[in-house]
Amino acid sequence: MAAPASMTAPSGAVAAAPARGAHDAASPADHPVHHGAPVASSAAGGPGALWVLLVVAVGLLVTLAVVTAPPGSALPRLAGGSFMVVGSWWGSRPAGRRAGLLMLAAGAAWLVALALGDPIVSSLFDGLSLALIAHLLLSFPGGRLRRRFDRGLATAGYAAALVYGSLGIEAGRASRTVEVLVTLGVAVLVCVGIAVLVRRWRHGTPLARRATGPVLLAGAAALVALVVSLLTKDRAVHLCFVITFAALPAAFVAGRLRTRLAAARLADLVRGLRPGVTVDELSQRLAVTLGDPAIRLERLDPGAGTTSSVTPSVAGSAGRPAGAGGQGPAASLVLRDPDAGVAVCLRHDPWWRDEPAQLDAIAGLVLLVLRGERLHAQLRARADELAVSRARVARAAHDERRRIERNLHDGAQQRLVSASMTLGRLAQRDLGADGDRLASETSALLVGALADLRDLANGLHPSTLVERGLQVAVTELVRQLPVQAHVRGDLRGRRLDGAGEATAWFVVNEALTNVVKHAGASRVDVGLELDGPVLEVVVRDDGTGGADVERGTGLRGLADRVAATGGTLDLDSPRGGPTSLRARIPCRSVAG
Amino acid sequence: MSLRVVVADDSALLRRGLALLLAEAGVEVVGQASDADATALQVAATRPDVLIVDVRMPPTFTDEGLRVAGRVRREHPGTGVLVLSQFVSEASAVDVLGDDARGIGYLLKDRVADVGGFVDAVRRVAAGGTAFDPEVVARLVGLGRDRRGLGDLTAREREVLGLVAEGRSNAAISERLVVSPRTVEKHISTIFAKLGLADSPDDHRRVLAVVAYLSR
Repeated sequence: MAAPASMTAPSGAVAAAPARGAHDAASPADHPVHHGAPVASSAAGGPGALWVLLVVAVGLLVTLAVVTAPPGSALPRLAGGSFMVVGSWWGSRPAGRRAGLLMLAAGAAWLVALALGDPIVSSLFDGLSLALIAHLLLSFPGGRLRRRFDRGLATAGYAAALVYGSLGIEAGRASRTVEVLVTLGVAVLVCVGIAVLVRRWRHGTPLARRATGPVLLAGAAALVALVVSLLTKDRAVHLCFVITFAALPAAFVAGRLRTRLAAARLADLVRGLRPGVTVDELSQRLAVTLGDPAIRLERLDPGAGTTSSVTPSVAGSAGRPAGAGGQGPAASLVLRDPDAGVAVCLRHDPWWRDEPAQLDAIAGLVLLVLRGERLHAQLRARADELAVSRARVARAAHDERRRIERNLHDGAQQRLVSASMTLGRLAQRDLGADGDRLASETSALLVGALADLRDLANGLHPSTLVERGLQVAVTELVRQLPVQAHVRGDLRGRRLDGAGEATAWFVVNEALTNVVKHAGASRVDVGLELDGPVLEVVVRDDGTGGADVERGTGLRGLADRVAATGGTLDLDSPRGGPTSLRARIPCRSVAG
Repeated sequence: MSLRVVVADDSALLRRGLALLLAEAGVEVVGQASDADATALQVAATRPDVLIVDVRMPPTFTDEGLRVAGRVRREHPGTGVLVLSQFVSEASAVDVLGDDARGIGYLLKDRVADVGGFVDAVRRVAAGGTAFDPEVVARLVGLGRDRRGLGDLTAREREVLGLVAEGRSNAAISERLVVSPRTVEKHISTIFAKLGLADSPDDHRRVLAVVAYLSR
């Protein structure tokens, strides 16, 4: 569970093209180093119990207010009330506290305005509520106004609300000129605000647009309705305004859900992954699944230090901003698992920073996949090593056997032949009856010894195989069978490397032994074919079948022997026959 | 006039043993060689009656001996070749025979210990006859006999067939089996009839026919 993953998130310092600098405002303090526990549970924090209570309480109150509302004021109450509910939900996360509070305040002010009788105070609260909403929209989603222009605009909004409300324009207390001027001023301000929102949307990253789309759309619509309503004082338009105003909280929730849904598609990603996926593939799949083209995975040198800096090689590449001149350079997260030898840099749309739980899930998934890929690669490498080592051992064994056979032939057998020759010469002399008898006994012993040695040498490495090659040796084997047998092959005259020939010979020998002992066949066909670097040996008989590699007919040892050379052995032996044994053995052709 | 032979074997021990053995039996060893090229040179230089050569020789120790045997038969048709092997290979025996059974022999080295039999084989080959190791013949005749259509033959007939395959003359066969030459002749015509082979007065042609039949 406590995976030793550390997720260090360098702030904009990542995109190390020196010109960029730390444009991204999030400071290093926002991204502590994590070991083991997922980010979300510590830094992001879940909703505190207090906030949950708040949400529930507010929800109940609002429901009450709406249900007991006199006709005509249900919708405005609902509008204000829903702002309060959504605001409390939004504020329950630390990352959304500011925005949540703004929403809560806006909703509360709206409801207060509804409740109050005095037109001027009511108008002031109305204005405050709208100014708070404007502030909220400008600072969405973080709740902070980052640019001086935004701050100025928000301040102007508050000021306008103050002026509008205190002049009593709603109540008709101001002169026509003042009313027109102030209304126009507010209208201009609102239009500027709409323009800012539209521009921001257009310049956002795809992810940002998906999340803020509903909000900005509803917000712009509400503001437009506001302006028109102010200018024309039309009741129907005013109703439109209230409706769009009421829709805003829903739009906030919708935007949030869209981001979460994007992250939920991670499950789809997992389903489609195959083992051995490369970092690049994973990067692409992530980008497509999450709908964030800014997502990139880049390998880091696993040995590089555990500080939050990124190696120059990573920085040199793709340091381009996520959206064209939009929210700043792509943010990134460094994911490391030193034990598994995994280190990647996950670049993403900065938007994900407001959804730390989702980012956590993405990071977790990436680490999981990469660990899996590492393991897979290690396994493959290990398997390859083993295969090579096995082949080496098999070859060494073969070389040893051949050496022993040679030594027997050149050493012991020759001496024995020589001894029997000398004995023969002795037997030509007159030895007397006793002498003849002894000579004869000795001769018999020597002949026996020679025969034994010959069998031994043959068992190690068949002599015909040495002298005449595989096809001739197999033909010889086959001719000793009591059944019809044919050898088909194109190897006559061609020599293959010793180990391969020996293995092939033993395959045929064992197969033929089994045919004679168990199959009750009337015909056997042996095929020898060289297919590139592979020798294919096939032994087919028309016997009763039912042979099984596991059932102690020597086929198990044979399969092992073949496998050790890197080849394969297949047995097809249904009950009733026919039986076909096929071995594919890697084999070099040897000149001469 | 004593026989003149060249002995070719890469083992000095065996060459010496053979030379002594042959000398004591009245056969003159006019040359020795330890590899294929030297063998060919010796035969060319000394023109022996028989070349006695080991199958395995340097450099590859596979079948150099067989190949030089073939070469000598082509280049010096009058010289008999007796191939010695440390083990029995039917395929090699049949290859050695080729299409001409004259003046050719294939023996197990073990056989050399029976000096009388060995020298007899050498003389047979020198005279243009055939000398096949009984063990090779036993394999050809004995194993898989039903398959080779030898099931019709009686045990005695099979024995005779074996001796024919070895390259022995009727006289030798009758002596070996202790029967009259007439009986031997009768056996042989019966055998050949059963196998569907044409009989021939020439021993070596007989051998060829029989071995060819047996090694199908």
